[in-house]
Amino acid sequence: MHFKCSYDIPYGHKKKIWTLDISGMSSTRPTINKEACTECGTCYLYCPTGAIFFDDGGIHVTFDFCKGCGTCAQECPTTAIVMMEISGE
Amino acid sequence: MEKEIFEKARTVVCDGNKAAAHAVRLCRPDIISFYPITPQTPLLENLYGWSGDGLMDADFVEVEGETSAIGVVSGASAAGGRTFTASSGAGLAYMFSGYLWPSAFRLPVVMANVNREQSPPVQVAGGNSDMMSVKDGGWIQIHVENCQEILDTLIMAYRLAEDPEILLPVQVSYDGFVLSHLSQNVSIPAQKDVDRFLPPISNIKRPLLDPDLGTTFATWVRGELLSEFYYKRCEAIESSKKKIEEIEQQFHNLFGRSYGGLVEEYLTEDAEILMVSLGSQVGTMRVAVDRAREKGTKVGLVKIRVFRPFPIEKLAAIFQGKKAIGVYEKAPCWGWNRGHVCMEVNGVLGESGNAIPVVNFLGGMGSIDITIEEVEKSIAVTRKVGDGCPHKKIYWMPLEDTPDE
Amino acid sequence: MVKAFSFAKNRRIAEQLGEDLLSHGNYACPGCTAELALRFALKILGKKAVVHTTSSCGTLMACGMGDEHQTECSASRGLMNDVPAIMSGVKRYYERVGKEATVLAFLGDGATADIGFQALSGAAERGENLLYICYDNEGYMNTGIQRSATTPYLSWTNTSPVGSARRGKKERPKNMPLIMAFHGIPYVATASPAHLEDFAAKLKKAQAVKHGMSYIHVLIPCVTGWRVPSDQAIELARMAVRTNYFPLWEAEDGVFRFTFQPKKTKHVSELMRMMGRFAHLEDEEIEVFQSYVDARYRTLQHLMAAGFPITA
Repeated sequence: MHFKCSYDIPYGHKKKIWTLDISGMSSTRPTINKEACTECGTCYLYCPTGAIFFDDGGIHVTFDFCKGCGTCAQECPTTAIVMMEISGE
Repeated sequence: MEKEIFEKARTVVCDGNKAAAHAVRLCRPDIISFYPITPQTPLLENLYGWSGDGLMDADFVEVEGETSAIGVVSGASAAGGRTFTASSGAGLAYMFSGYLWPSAFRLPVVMANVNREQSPPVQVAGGNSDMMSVKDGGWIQIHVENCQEILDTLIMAYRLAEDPEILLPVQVSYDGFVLSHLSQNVSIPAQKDVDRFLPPISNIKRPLLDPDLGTTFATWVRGELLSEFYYKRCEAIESSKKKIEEIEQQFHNLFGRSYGGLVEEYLTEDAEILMVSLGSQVGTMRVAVDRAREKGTKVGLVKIRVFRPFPIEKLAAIFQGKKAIGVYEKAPCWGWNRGHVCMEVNGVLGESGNAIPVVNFLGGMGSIDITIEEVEKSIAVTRKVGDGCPHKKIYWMPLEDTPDE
Repeated sequence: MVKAFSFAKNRRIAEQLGEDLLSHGNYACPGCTAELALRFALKILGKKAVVHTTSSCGTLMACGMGDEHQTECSASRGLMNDVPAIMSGVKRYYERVGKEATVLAFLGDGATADIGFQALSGAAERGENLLYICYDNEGYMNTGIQRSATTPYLSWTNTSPVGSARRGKKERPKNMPLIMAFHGIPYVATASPAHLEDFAAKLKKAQAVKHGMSYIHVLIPCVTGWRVPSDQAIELARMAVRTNYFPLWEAEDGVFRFTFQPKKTKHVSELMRMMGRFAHLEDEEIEVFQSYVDARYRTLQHLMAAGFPITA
């Protein structure tokens, strides 16, 4: 007998959060024009997957979490974000 | 009544519902939730009455249906509480989708099933068809014979359910109307003694839904994990056989009463034929067995007390060497043209390689009386079966003209 | 706390946001506003939330897989017909032992208005202290786009088909937020994923209620079920509010008020032309739809103008 689970019931307790690998799923990717960006945070607020975040270096997109929906580009008030086709890969 | 007097040991005359209510009160549940259905209603009325008089400290949740009743107790149990619910007949059927939950998530919920015939057809009568319709729910299921046993078994049920090696829901069923509404002598233990027997549920280490832990209860199960959880559950149910007997021994040491564990035997050792049954009719059958013995029939009686897990090994040992087995029960199993218990007895015999003829008697359905005379007739038929006479596989006792000729 | 840059006009929202407690990778469709709503709600409600889902789109985001979890806060689930009951048991036990938690539901319109309505109605009547968020994508989307009680009139779904013999859903939908308001619970509100400041304020008010149930009904444009391009969902929600198809209001202890009113109301055809599920509509049908939208809005206006708490 081989068991994979230390519990007797379905019980999520691992320290790491389960994350589906969606990195290869999208055919488009947002690109941000840093000059047009006013850092208003609209893209951050509306991104459903939380792929957009801010740090000292400015605004970034984590492509591991991006499904390519295009909401950020659509909502950006200064049209600083454009969805580009991912070519090659 | 003063709380001090209320919590002392005493003997009273009360019905099964009240005995069950006393047991629940003594076990100090945190959350109680039911939806009323005859014949369970006086059980909850007793608890509410005591709560209203400040004699009982539990949180009651008056829900709008049985699906919510089992939901509330499942949620409270997952959060860490001790809970109680009860139902009958159609209520139990309605509850069934939620009934599967405590077993799958190993929640130590205890419930009372006050047996009523399953609806439809609609009637308000005692019978075992409700208990049998949920036998595959994954709960430990114990069926009791008298009011004292109701009280004692419910207390033991909490110990069993909350045992860290078990952690399974336990259902204690007793015949509706026959036991729930008719009174017998019941010895009520003292609160302090039950507190010694049953430690607080917070002592038990088990997976909980807790806002401080950041864990997820009841996650999605994929692939092989389901096999693993099923296997572990099967093992726990199987190991409860031994645990039931251990707990009963501890109960006997403290309170002086015991019931044989999984199975209770009456005059089986030198018996040539056996009658097998469960529930309140066993009392009647003991008298019939005595009468038959006086007339020279060497008959014994086996009371199956724990229906799930089914006591396969115990029964196989008791059946060894007998000439015939008469199974007397109340609920037909649709599709087998037998009763449920008879089916399972056949299974035991098949597994143990014993080729003993089994004859099935169905009676007592819809609250009709199982009389001593009727049982005596079934013993007579079983004796003939033991002697090799041709016989039917199943006798519907209320409808048969002369079964024993 | 998000380190705020300029955040320009969004500063008021950004200042209220806590950590993102939800897993970033899940099975939700690209552009799913339900995922946005749950992620945002957990940022506002914080780590003491115990979020309950059921078999639906919502569960794919929060229920955890095997022995791993998808939320930093605690989570659980129930059957489709008993989540409010399960939550009642959980919350009552926490109160009994003095544990603080926001016991919250994130359930779809199916579990709210159809299969789970009994349990919700019972929990509301009992005054259980639960925070109930209904994410309304107007159909049973997780099982493949079937009609529910909140699917709008004439909408296409797989069980309200459009063809030579049928023109979509024949029935008018239940008005769930009004139904819940008439249960007499302390707080009811409607919210939109495009109006996040409004949604945040409502979540905070709902969380502050301690003496009964709070209910927030969020309009969730479903890019898959409503036949909408994946980047249009937020704009759609905005338009739904602008056309008064989905007015934003709240009722605190029976006192109703609008929390947002569009400066200029648009005709509902501007909303419907954004969605493929209404592509089959003729002009007369759109006018009938407009009359239903107007009737609902007039009802709300009368409730707002009552001047006294309206309880059932």
